[in-house]
Amino acid sequence: MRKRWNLIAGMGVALLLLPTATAAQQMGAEGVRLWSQNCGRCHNFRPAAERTDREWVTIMAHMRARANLTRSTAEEILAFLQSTNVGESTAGRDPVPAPVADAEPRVDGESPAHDAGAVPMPHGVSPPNGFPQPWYISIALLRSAEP
Amino acid sequence: MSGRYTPFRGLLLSVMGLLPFVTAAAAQEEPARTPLAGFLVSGYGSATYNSIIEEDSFQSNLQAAVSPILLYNMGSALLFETELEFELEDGSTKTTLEYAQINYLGFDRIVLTAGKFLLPFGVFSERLHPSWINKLPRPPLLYGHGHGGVAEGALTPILSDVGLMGRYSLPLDDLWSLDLSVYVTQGPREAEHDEGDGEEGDGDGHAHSVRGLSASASAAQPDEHDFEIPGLAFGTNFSDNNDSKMLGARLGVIRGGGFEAYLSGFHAMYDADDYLDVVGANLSAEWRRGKFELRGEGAILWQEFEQDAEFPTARTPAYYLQASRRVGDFEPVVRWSHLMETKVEGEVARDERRQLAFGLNYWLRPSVPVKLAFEVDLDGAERLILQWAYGF
Repeated sequence: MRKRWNLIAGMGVALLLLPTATAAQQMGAEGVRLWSQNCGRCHNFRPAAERTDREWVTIMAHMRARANLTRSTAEEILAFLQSTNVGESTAGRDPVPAPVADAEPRVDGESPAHDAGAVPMPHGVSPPNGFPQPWYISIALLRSAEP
Repeated sequence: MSGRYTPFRGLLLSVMGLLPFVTAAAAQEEPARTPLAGFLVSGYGSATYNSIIEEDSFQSNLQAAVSPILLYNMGSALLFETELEFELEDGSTKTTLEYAQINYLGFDRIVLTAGKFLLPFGVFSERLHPSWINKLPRPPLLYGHGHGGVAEGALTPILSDVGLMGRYSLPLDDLWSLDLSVYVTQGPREAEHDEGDGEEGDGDGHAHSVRGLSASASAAQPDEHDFEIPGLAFGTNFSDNNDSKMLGARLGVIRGGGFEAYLSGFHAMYDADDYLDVVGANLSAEWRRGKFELRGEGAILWQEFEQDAEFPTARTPAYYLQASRRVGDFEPVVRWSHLMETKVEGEVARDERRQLAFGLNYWLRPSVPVKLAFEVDLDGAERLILQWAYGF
């Protein structure tokens, strides 16, 4: 009897948390998509580790004005950059971008996620074209979900 | 009694136990804001070596320029931004205020801007001219360039002016969106002789005057047809020389990161009597597929001027096409620029200029290219240019 109640309670909690997790994933996916569609239109993708999370807030405000992004678009991109900012630390800006597992040299057109935050990405990913692959989004989301 | 456990005491202890965590969480969500928390220095710079071969002469020079961008983000709705430019010229340091603007970002789809800002006329002038973004060391012939012995004409400078601008972005679906900018500014004025006597900016593309369309705006380039078309100066002063304002707009359609096209134009009166018109129109487009990028702009300028108590109009079209492709960390680039003849009532007031440029970039980092370029003016000089640019 007790086990059954535990199971019901667990399912209830899972149901409560599921929409939150789905919404978070959707937000993350939206951030990846918007980042890949917008940030390479004029220039190369910049590594998230180049700036602290707080600096990205100012940079995205600047880019919003320069590239005429909507506020929601800028916020999604900012959230994605901050979530992948492995160079961020409480001590301030990490002057050296974190090393990446990607064996390829820094090539913006091939692996922008490499620049976004030293996220190891398989060779041949080209989200700048505006068509991120599902597995690309999945990996980026998993990466961003890491503590 | 004192050692006895009660529900109230348990609740109190629980709350007290949670307090440090709640406080820490609150502190994480809203970090203490210092006066300079939203202040940031960004920008770009370049060092450029030019060697110019023209008929029997050869000259070379080394240029350096730094353009710091000062950003101050005040809350979530206000952003102050300023770009300065420092460069060495003729033994002295030249400072230019590229833009100084305040942006209101409180709306979701609208951005309001006031101050001195880059005009959305085409795309290169507003977004692509910084040396770490421009894929070749110098701008196309559409836009002004050329200090240090590289004196050439262009259609317009990198346009910035003082006024107000409203921008609206409308996402249509996951891929398509519309981009509209509308602005009113002081508008151009007739350039002083020393503003447009042949130099059109530097390798970063900064300049604020157009020597005009300029057949013979000054004595720098005598014109066989004796047309005296004044040069135009944009944003060189905070005071206005007349009562009229410049009105301009740009409408763009964007498809994800793969395609975008913009149609832009402006109208202004540039003389003190509010009589002489200048009208500009620009069509620009970019297409990107994988590592390949193709972009181009076409523009035309109509400028009315006074000549012997008459008011003819000078008409100058120009365009450029540029293709590039990433190959590893290298990026070959080719660009064709054509500043077409300036015509006044069917007569040629200024000869055309055609330029072919080849470049090979090596990207040390996403914002640090080393560019080697070879430019051929089909009717003039050849240049070999090496530039190291840095976006920070």
